[in-house]
Amino acid sequence: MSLKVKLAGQEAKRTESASKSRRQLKKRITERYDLYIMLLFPMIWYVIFMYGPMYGLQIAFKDYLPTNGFWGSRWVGLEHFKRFFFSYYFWRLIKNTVVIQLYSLLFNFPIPIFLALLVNEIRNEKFKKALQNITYIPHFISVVVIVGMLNLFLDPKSGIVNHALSYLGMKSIPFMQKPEWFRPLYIGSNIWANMGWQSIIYIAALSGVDPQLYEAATVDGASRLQKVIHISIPAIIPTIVILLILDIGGFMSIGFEKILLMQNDLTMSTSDVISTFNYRKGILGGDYSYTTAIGLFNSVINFILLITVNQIGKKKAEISLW
Amino acid sequence: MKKSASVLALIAAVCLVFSGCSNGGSKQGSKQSDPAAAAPSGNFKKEGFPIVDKPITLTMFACRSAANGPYKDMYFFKEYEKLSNIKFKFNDVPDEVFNEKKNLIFGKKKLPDVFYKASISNEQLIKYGQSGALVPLEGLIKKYAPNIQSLLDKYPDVKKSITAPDGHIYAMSSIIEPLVQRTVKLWLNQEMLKEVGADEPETTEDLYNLLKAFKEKYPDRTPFLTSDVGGAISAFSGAWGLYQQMRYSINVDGDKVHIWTTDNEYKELLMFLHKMYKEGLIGHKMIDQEYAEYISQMQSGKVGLFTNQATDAFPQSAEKYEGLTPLKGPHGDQGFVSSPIARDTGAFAISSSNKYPEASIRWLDYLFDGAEGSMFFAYGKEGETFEFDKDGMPQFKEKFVKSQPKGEGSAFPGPGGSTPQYSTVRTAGTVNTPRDARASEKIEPYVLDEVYSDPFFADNVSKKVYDLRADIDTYVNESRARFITGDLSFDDWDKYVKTVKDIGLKKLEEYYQEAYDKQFK
Amino acid sequence: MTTKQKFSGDQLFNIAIYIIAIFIIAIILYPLIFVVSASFSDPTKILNGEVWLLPKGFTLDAYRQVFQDSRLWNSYKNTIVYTIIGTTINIILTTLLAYPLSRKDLPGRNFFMFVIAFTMFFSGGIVPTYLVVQDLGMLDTIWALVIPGAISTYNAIVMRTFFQDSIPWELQEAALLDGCGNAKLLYKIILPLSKPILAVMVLFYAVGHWNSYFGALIYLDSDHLYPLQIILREILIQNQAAMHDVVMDFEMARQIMMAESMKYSVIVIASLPVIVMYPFVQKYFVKGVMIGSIKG
Repeated sequence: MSLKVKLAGQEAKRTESASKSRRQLKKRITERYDLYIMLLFPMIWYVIFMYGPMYGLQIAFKDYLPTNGFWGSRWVGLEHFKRFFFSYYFWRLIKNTVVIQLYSLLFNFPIPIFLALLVNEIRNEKFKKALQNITYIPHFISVVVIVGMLNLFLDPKSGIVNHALSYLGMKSIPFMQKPEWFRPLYIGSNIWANMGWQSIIYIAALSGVDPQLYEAATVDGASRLQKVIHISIPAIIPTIVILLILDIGGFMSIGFEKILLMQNDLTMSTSDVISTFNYRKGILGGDYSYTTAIGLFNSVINFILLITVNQIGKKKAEISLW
Repeated sequence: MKKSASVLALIAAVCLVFSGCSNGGSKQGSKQSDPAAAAPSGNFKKEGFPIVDKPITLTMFACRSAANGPYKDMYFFKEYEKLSNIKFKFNDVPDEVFNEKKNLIFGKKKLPDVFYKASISNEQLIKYGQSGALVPLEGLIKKYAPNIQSLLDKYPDVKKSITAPDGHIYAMSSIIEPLVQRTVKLWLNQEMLKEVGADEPETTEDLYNLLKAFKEKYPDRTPFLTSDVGGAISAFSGAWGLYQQMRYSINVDGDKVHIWTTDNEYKELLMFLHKMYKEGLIGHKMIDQEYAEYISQMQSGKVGLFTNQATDAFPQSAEKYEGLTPLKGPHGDQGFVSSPIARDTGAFAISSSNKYPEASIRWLDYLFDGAEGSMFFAYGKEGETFEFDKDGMPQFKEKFVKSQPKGEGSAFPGPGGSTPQYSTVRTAGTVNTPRDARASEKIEPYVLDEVYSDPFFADNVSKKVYDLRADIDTYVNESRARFITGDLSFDDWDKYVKTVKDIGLKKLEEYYQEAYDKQFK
Repeated sequence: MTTKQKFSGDQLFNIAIYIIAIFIIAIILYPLIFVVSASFSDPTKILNGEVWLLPKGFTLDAYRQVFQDSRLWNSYKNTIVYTIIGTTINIILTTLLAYPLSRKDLPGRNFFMFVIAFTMFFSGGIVPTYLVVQDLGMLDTIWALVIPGAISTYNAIVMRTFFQDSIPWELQEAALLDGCGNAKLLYKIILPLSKPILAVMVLFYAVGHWNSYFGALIYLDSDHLYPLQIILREILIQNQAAMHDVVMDFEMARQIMMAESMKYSVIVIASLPVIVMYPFVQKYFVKGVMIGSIKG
């Protein structure tokens, strides 16, 4: 057979299978019409409340004046971004933001998982409940009070921590005024406040594990530690991976109010992040366009990170968002 | 990623559809007209009360500070309405979201008639003034507001502070006359002074020795405390001839604007503070203390020297303290920092939607009469809400205060600051006790005659100024704290100076000079 | 491994668990006790560091100040209403979103996922959103508080993950082959098996409503509609981050001191209901709750 005919034959097969799969696709869609109806309501909401207002993003490239409206404001292109990139502190802000978030991922992310596994292993019902209920409460303490408590407990003269230090013969340390202590304190207090709350989702996931798996493992002679490693953890890997992906997708968005409360002139070298610096700039001259531009910058980075991690998750673990 | 491309196209299409439907804000009439040129309505009375024959209702957009209750419940507005025949429909917004709401308000076709306690920035005043959203006030003031006009004539620095480069006044500020309300004073513990057998210090060297004596006699007490690092700087900068102008670290000498944060005098000031800090004469908590902590320290009566505007924050310990005369520095300077008389700018503005601009300005003018009107704004009606005590000071009647959910702030818009008001020695009330007045008198010979408020920067310049300020201020503030604590050694001073200059100090100074030339010269 | 070795390994494991658990309870409990004690203490003593475990200078002022505000009880009621209505809407919409997307056999699934994930990053901002709410006539009504925030994409994704990974596909496939429609499948089979995740979502959304204040600040004008957090913040002079810019016109000093102990009492008052809520939700996390249903 000549090449032309062969190719034509292949082409015909392709179009034939293409139309066949298009027919199949149509069938699959119409078969599941009720699923699409379910999606309809939430999707309408997304269109109205999420995508509708998105035109507001354009003012990141404009000089927004409310009296001119969004469409009438003057176009300035990348001016706001340039103002941000050429700021004297640009690299320090990026560095501080990134370092804090990396440490957060490293320490803050795993701890709720350990807590959930711990809770899961406790046999005594009352103790288990106590542990859950107590660890979940700090989430509700306002950031203002948490920082207030940090100030009180770490006070060089009257704070409980320094009292303990001097009891052990050590000099008192003004923790809140030392740049090298900022990150540990910030992340440590985050862990303290949120580990219980963040463990809830893992605890819920663990409760869905078939008890028979554990029974079978006991019969096989597995120790409790082995059961945790080989049954509990694998059962929640999908949850862990998805939450990790989502967390990384929020990488550049750092908790601004808490840092603002914790930072002072002496700790700026480690505590000044993008959001706090621009907050101070905003006080000098409230600039809605500029803030939008910075937000957009953060969002773009977050988004790129998300897509990257999502692809990795897809390839390596077959767990991904899409 | 073909799929994502089509998704993005879909998104773009949807946005386009919706922006068409949504009121994305529309252009206001960009005509600028002077409302004083138009003839007032027949309803209006040029003098006396009521201000209008037939009652009118105006809309007011105002900021509600944490100290205030809802405006519609305020005794002040209710009473004033009876007098003036002007009723207000309020849109008062908590200060947490005030800036967002302000953006939204300016985007509407119909603006509120009056902006009150609005803290409209200079930049916004120029923009909205030139777009016609806010009307010029100087004509109205000249014609219908004799009290305000005479004050503007009396205080040229106020007039200059509120007049934009195009010659128009787009918003009225507060006029805080009494020096006592414009200075953060140093309060010296007289008890401790007597115990160490010293005289009142006259020079910075004297003060250093006195604080040392305090420390020796009272090792557990803090010799000197201030609210934060900035407070420490402002408390003593006058002793090196360094003042605040245009709300920044600026000296103005013969029309020349100079930012002094790299000068030798500033270095000496920092070294002075560092010496005291190192020897434990300054409370180390100054760096990061919460305001509540500072107040409790002031009230304890155990601090040797501290700074505060008035004694009202520490009634429990006030009798132990007297104000200090400004100290003489090593080069013979003896100055003291004070705030501009036009303390709260952008406090009151009239919009282009307002059909009664003359009535509105008259409404404000009564409160600036320095007598009954100003007293009414601050304290209400004698016999009803307040009484004069034996020192001639106005005091709120306890029964009245208790009847209000938030105290004075529920009845008057003043508490929380930023209101357009004329404050005189008489209306200053609780912040002008005899002790405060004495302290203020000691300071008076040493403050500047004219202190200017923030300048107006041209539109394209103001953004550059903010960018420079954000960078420079961060660096300067961080460095000064570190110099004082010793984290940064003075051996590195030259490096510090070079860095500040590299970031753009000269350019910043030029911008301020330009603005000064146009506005204050 | 001999039985003896295995048991002592397990014993060690058990001891370690309880030690760690006790340690965690201790470091969490101490500051919590501190908060409660501080709410009953004299603010000056709190600031001086005199309060360590028990209240010093016992006073009920911090609570009295809060309860004195006549708007407090109304706002409590409002918050309960908003929470119940809001959470109901949240759960319905989120489930309707999450379930279809959990079906691997749904054409276009990835497209929808991308569309909703995109919104987690890019948002038009406060002003355009406000304008939409305004155009829909929802300003100053309860709807502005429960509709614009009706779906949290984060929660939807978490819920989808649960549906996808915890409910066996074979089960669903079998039901579908039996002729069960998708809606019936969701209602009769999926939801009963999803008690843990529904419980978690109710908790997340309800707490979100309970703690929310920004939406109310921006969309509501009328006092009588204000939720709890707004009233509490007003009582407390929130925005303490910007405290040092405040002009010290009389009054402020007294209020700042009062705020010092009130910030603790406010936490107790505001959080008590939610803290009490958790044990009710917890019983849905009982192990094997799903498997039992499958067997049955």
